[in-house]
Amino acid sequence: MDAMLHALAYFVQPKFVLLCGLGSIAGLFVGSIPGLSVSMATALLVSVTYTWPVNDALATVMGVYVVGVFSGALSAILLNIPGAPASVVTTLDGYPLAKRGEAYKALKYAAVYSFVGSVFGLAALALLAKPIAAIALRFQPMDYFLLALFGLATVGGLTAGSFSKGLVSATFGLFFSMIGMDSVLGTPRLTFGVRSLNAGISTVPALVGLFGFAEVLSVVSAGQLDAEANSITRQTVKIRDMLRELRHSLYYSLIGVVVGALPGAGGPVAAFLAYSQAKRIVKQPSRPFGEGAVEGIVASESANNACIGGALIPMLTLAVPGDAVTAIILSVFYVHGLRPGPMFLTTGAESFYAILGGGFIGCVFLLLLGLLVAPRLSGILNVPGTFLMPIVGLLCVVGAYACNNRLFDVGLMLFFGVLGFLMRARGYPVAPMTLAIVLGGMMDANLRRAISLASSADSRLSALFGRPITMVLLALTLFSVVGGIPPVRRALNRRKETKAANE
Amino acid sequence: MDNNGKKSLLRNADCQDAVFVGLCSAALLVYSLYHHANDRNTGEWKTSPYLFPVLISAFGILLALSLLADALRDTRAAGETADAVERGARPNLTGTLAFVAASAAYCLLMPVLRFVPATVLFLGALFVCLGERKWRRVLLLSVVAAGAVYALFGLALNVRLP
Repeated sequence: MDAMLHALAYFVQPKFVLLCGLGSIAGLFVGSIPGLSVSMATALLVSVTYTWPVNDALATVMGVYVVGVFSGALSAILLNIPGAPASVVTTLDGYPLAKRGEAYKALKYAAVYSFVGSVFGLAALALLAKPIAAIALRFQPMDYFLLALFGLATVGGLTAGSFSKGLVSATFGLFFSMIGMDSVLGTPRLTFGVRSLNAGISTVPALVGLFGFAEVLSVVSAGQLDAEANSITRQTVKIRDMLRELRHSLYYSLIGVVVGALPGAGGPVAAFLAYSQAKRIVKQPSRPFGEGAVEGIVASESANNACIGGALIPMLTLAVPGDAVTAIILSVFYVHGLRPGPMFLTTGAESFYAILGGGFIGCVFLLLLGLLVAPRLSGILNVPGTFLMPIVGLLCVVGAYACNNRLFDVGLMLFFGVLGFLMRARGYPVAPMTLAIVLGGMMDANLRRAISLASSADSRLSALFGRPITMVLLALTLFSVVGGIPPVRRALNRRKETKAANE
Repeated sequence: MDNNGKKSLLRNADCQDAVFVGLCSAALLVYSLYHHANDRNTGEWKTSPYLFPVLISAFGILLALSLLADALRDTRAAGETADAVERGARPNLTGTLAFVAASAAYCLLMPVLRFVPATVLFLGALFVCLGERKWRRVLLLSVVAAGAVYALFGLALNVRLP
């Protein structure tokens, strides 16, 4: 409750609200235009806000994040192209509704229930962060290592069609994170004699390349440079009708928070899960699911926006990001010298409240922009990629350079951009690599610290893995790794199918 | 496995990736072991900077084997007659390569020409490359976009530009 009150205090700080509003407007445009993503915008923002006071940076980033996740629904409804992966499920009912000339109604439902989901997720963050941080205070170096490993294993397993491909992406990310000055001994490692690499791979150019430049190359390569949006005609949508789904929406939001808190699962998984639950619990939808049921839009949008709060919980309390955007937000913290983790609520309380405050203000902007501006955006969705993509490419170059004022970083951005493009083309997800680049240093330092501490104990094995928290984390990590191995996964699926057939 | 089977396995994307990942991991393993043994400051394994790279490389080799297993399964599933190589919509490779080349050239030109002229050239080249043929529009958009980015980042946000 205390956290909520502190967060609400930001509503009366004009500069904070203004920056959050600017971020929200940027999020609305970026999220709604296919080919531009919230991750890309956040990565670019890290470089721009590098010299800003941390709270100003967080206000802008939260505005982009909250509204950007919602605005993916715009192109999902109007173009049948999800602006963000989390909006894939919104296309199932949103686009058929728009085809029937009810795009306005679909957008209103999306805005209202994105707002409900976002507020629910942020409230969960405010309430749960402290208890989780209290548990995390008991963590030892090995626990941190295992937690990060668990995060990478789940991200690898959940974001790729092939488990191996997700883990390959994470492994390469770990390799990149090892380059530079070793944090323990202070000697250069894996720099191959290149002096510019002594400072390590800067996170910002890597993220801008993997999310921004790679996305531009993918759009150019696919030739998706033109799209035509459905037109919108204004219609009356009764508030009473709209709020009828509020009770269900809270349930979908809960799904979103839980899924969002799991590393790697994120918006798309939450939206699919909530949609399948909606099909089960809504007995009489306004139209059959998949043919324009507003209940489907409610499920998808509530769940994917609630993921925002969910994904921030492990990021702030354990320094393990829940998705790509929170991995980028984590780098905002690092850039500003802040260290998220169990002590963060004490040492960085002001930034925690700024995140909450920015999130809640972002929710208000989401509602305002979603109801008033979004229905007028169909023209902007028609901006041809021929003009948009070169400008985004230019922003990637500027963003990569702005961080350290080094052309070497622009080169790094291009390298990661091409790498990200090739990875996508061959079916490798970039999210595990992002998380690994951010978490690699922490994993390395904690592993060596844990082994050093255990080496002086009588029983090294029990010193490493003997504590209850460590055992739980080890079991979770092993379960996620072993459960993802293709033969094991196939055997589990066969067993499930046999069980379902018997029933 | 007959010759056709071998050929289709070699053309399988997962198999090619497995070879690449395996080679990279093996190279990293050798490099890390060599440097651990020869660098004066590395000390014992428990504090060695090469402990984690060695673990990563070992894991990478296992992943390469896993990718190879995926490739074998795919090839078997595809059967002797089917072509194992996936064929989707033909990508615009020329446009993509031109985009990368223009970006690299832009980075090299920036310190020489300064930000705004290099940006106008970069944007103009890419607009044309992506299919815009109206010269006036190309020129106008390049100049306006370069000026806007300079005003926003260089002047308003105080970002240092090359």
